[in-house]
Amino acid sequence: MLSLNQIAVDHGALRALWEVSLEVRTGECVGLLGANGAGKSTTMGAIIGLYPLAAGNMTYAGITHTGRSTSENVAAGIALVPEGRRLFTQMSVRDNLVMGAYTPSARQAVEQSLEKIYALFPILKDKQQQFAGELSGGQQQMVAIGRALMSQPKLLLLDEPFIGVAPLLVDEIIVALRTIGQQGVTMLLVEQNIHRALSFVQRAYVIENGRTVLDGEAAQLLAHPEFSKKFLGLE
Amino acid sequence: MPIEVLIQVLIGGVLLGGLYALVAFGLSLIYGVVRILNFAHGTLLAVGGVAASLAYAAWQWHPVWLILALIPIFVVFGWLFYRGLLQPLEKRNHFESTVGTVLVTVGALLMLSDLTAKLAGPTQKNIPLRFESFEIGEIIISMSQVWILAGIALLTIAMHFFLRRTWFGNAIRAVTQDSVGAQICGVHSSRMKAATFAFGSAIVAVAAVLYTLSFPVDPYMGFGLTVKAFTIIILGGIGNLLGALLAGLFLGVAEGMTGLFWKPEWAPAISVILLLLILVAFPNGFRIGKRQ
Repeated sequence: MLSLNQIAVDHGALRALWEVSLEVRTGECVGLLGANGAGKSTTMGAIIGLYPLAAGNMTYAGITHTGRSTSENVAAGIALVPEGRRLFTQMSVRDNLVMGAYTPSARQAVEQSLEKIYALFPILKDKQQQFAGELSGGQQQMVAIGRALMSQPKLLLLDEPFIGVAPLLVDEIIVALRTIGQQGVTMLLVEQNIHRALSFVQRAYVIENGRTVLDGEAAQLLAHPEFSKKFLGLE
Repeated sequence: MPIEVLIQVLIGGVLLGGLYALVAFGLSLIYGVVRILNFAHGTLLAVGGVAASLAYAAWQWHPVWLILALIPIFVVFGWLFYRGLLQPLEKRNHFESTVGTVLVTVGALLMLSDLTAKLAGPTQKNIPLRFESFEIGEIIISMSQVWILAGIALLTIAMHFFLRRTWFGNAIRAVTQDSVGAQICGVHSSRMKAATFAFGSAIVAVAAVLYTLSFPVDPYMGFGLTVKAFTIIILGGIGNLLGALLAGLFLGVAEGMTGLFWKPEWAPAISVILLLLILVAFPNGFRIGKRQ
């Protein structure tokens, strides 16, 4: 469905990504792991089109390109739940969700999409008239996931969706994400908590200093000596 | 002082303040979406007012037709202004683009003023359309004042619903609150910025005709309006229509009262004095109405 072929991204004069390659197949749930500053969020931003590619290319749904605009990518079925959520805090929960259906194809199905999301996160239906900024961290994360789903994506990019979320709600969100996966949405997940990530994804890539350095099945990675050393602090 | 005079000045102040608020609406929308301080914004009202006055002198068009004729011209101007002069600056680094936008908008303000003065003359102009007036006791109210107030109220309500009920309006609010958040919803950012410039300019087109119906305009009055609009945005909050309207009315009435109780030549300065006083007295700000 998606493959990144040795992409590079510059932030101003600094190179943030040097050589990131990965592949996500239809129906899969893939993890993207790495330390802080390794380039995970930049990779997500590059996929959705927030950052132009300085080198390399990507293939999505059979079409290879060297960077498209965010609106083209969203229309083509990619959605991002961004780091820090990026909600419209002074707009109602409902208006936040509706904005997620901004692309012309999604606009026709606003009401059905809303019902789907309220079924997934019933609390959002009760709070639909409140300002998004008034919600708890976990509820805001639900709004961010719901907003991404409103565009009816085929590929959902999740950038640290559990940060600032109370433990009880983490479980609820994981259940919801599993449901989304079962409905046929492909996912790419960035997550700090390695065990949580590897219990959720089938495969994962590890990036370090802007380069993919390791990849494999979740179980394989856990058994990999270098991986354990780097991420789990085990010798 | 007779109470009738006070009420008369109050009405004039409300009228002027409402018109200031219309100018502030556009400025605030543009700042919210494009993050550019458009110093030429008030000058657009001056140019539009002069143009409307000339068109009225030539063809005696009804003010509604003047507004309808001015809107498309201003829409095209606002769109071209952003696409042609401001958007290219975004490719520069932060310092250059910040200074560049100030230079472009201030430059546009100077050029628009001079060009208008050159073409139409630097004198004050108005739309000498006579309206009937009626009296309540000793207070004389012109129908023009009633129509202008109705126009301001109508436009404010229309904008309120526009910002909530349309995709474009919601996108304006969304970009103002989090531009990256809006981008990942599929909002096309540069198209949105150009459209907001065009939209903000269209509001000025309406304000220009309403203004010229009861106050004189001249090519060089624009910058004063821009300063007042900035004051209103600071008092009322960015992207907050109700706050801007209340702040505008407050400013207009304050100007009227300054002229009445003190000296008319101090009226234009009162907005800056009030702004300073309020910034000193309420350094953490205060909110009028609900923030949107």
